[in-house]
Amino acid sequence: MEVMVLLIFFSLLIAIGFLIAFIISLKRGQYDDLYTPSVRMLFDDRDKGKDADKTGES
Amino acid sequence: MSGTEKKAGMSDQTAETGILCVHCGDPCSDDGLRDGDKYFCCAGCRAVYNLLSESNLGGYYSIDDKPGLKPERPGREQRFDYLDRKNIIDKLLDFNDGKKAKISFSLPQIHCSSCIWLLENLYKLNESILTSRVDFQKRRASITFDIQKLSLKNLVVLLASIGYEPEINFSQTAEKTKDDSLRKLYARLAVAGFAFGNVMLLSFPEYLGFKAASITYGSIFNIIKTFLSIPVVLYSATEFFKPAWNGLRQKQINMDVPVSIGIIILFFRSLYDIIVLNHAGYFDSLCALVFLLLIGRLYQKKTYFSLSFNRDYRSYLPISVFVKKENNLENIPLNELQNGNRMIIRNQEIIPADSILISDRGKIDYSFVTGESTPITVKSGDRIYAGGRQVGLSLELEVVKEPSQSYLMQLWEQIPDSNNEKTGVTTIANRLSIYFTPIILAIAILTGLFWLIADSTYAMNAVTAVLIVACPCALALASPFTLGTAQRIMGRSKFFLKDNHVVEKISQLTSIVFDKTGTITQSGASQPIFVGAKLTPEQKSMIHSVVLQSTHPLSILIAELLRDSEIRNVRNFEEREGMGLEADIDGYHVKIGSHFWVNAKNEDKINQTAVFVSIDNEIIGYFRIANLFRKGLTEMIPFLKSKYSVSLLSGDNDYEKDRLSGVFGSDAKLHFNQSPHNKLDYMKKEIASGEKVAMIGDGLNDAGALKAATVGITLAENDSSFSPACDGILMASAFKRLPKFFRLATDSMNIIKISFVISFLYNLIGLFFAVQGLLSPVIAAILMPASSVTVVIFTTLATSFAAKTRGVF
Repeated sequence: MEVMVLLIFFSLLIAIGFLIAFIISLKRGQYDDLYTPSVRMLFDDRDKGKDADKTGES
Repeated sequence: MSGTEKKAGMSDQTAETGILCVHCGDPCSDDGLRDGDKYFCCAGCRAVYNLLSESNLGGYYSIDDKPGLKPERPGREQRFDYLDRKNIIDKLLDFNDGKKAKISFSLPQIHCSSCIWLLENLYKLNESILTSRVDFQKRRASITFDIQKLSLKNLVVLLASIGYEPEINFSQTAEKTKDDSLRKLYARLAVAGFAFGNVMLLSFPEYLGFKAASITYGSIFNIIKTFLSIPVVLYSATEFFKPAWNGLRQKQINMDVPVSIGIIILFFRSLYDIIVLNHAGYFDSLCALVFLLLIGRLYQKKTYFSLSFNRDYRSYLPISVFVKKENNLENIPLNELQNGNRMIIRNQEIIPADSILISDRGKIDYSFVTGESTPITVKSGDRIYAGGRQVGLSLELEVVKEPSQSYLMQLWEQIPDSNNEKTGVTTIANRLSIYFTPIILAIAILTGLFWLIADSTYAMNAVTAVLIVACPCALALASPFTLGTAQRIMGRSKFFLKDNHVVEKISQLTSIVFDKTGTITQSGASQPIFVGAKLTPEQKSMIHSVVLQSTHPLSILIAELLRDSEIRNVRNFEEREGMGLEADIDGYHVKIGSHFWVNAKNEDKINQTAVFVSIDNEIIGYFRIANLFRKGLTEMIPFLKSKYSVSLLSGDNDYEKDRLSGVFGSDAKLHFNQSPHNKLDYMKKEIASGEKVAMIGDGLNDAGALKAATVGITLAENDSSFSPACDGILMASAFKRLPKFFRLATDSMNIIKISFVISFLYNLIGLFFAVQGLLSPVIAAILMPASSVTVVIFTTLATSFAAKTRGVF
């Protein structure tokens, strides 16, 4: 049953790792704006955008 | 969206609503500006369109349909001159190393995905802009640029030229602290949630009936649980300790006091159990408790980032002004303005300081300050107060009082700022805990005394158990969840509250005060009302026939009013620009127009546009063009009057008294000619007499009253409208739902009271075990989260249900 203690210890260690990762990302402001990125990801890339301008708009 | 789809959509629109500007979507005339098949409403829009197309930013128009904003007319860049001053630059920039600089602008114009796209592609317009990032919800953009090649002023000019003129103010640091407190709360929640999950898992054997000591590694489990709980108490729970301590120092018992006592007792009792008795302890309950309470806190902190509730009068004033110095114009920031300075104020600019007119004459619109919408004519030497808006040619003024000493500022300073905070402390939950806490302490002491006599070994156990189980977590969750849900529902229906305590304040209201112009009347929409002897059908048909010949907006309005009357043959029709119409009908000579046109004496001091009618040179009366009341006003007044005392404060004079009495009832309190000062005094008097007053207003002239009122509600035409400091912002489209919002607020308070009863029942069950010294960790671990979860579910569902039955949606 010693293996149980070992397992618990390691699983806690991993969980704490994720907790720390979360807090770091929080402090860096990753959760400050939860809306804009959802719009931003739908924009075309820079080069594709240029093509679209020529064909689609004029 | 593909190109063909968009084209198809556009031609449909053209067919229905005429030609719309490709850039901003405003209607434009057929023969107006065009480039190929694209129409523009003005040169400004075309300039922006061409600029964007040349810089390969045409994608702006393919994301949202006609997203553009009308840019300001060029040639006014001088007004940004103050941005070249070093101390201003330092104040505004977030970061500057001489090469790269970073700044965050507030751009209230941001309204669609195209805005995000354009602002994030600014580098295509000017290569000195390195990166730009938009935060849509806060309507902000942070821009990094090469300050050696592009000055701050030119950056602002560039933004203004494409229609996004930044709203610059010097109080941006306040925004950052708001962010920080939310981040901290998330971090505390994460720690508590993490500990809660793991401690619960480690406690699982006990829930299944294993005794802690009999499990092989029970003591190791206990050690881990202890270590996991320490950060919960020392870090996460400080969210409750701090307000509790602050309350106690001010000799007030708030809801956080019993909560904090519960948490602390729970922690030490568990430590004692684990170390001394080798029992399991209550760490699982502790972590669950803190976790749930923190969720409540988070729910409470709902804020609408795109709206600002804390604007003071300063945000109405310009932040820089042109000053004449030895025949040179210099643009200086407002706080450097001194007595004796000569400032130049241009058309539509706001006068920032009390001053004396040097120019010959001018027209000042004081609607911001007094609510009176007609501009006042002033002559050289007259005193002009800050807050007036200049109409017409530029004026030269000499400053007699610095901006901080002006009438407007003093009005603002007079308002007791603590008003809102004071009422915030006496929320229903806090009022309750004043009684609750002593009662619990009394029960604990009595239990202790009883056990000391009966069996002293149980005394400590029973006392701590009472304090643990009495921890009013369900109680503490009831109001944040009810009020938070109500606030969210109202927000969805376009009534935005500053925080959820406002819901509670609304439920206590006894009196409602309306402002007139712009609040109960609709700006822009007007309706002609005939003043004079009642029109005969024959007169009606003659007037109708004449006005139909004209395309003047007033003619169209009158024609709409008389649309049911007969149309006759009109001969010799003539329209004179700025004067009126005349025509012959069946031998009558009909003249319609200004009082000069019909030779009327304008003796009635008519304060607004009036259209006179004369038939055969006899004046039969005039059409008064009055603003329309907002939809729903007439329906809501009887209901509001049945519950509240309703009154009206108007900055205008009483020419509309009869019409307003018709809506508000003859017994209503209608006050006219109210200056901002009068409004503020009225509000203070009402509050001093014990009334809880809601002020519903809009402009700066109501700002004092809005701030002094128990609940200040600002009416806004759209999201980006400029609103003074207030507790709630009501969108004009939701005005008719106002009584429903008020009812929902009252319902919410009843729901809170019911959930208090529910949580008391749970507390009683807990106390039943606790006083007997039988509170096992398992019972605590079931009872405490169960009561909280019940209350959360009940309040959320009940509030949504109430909103549905009240028809708030």
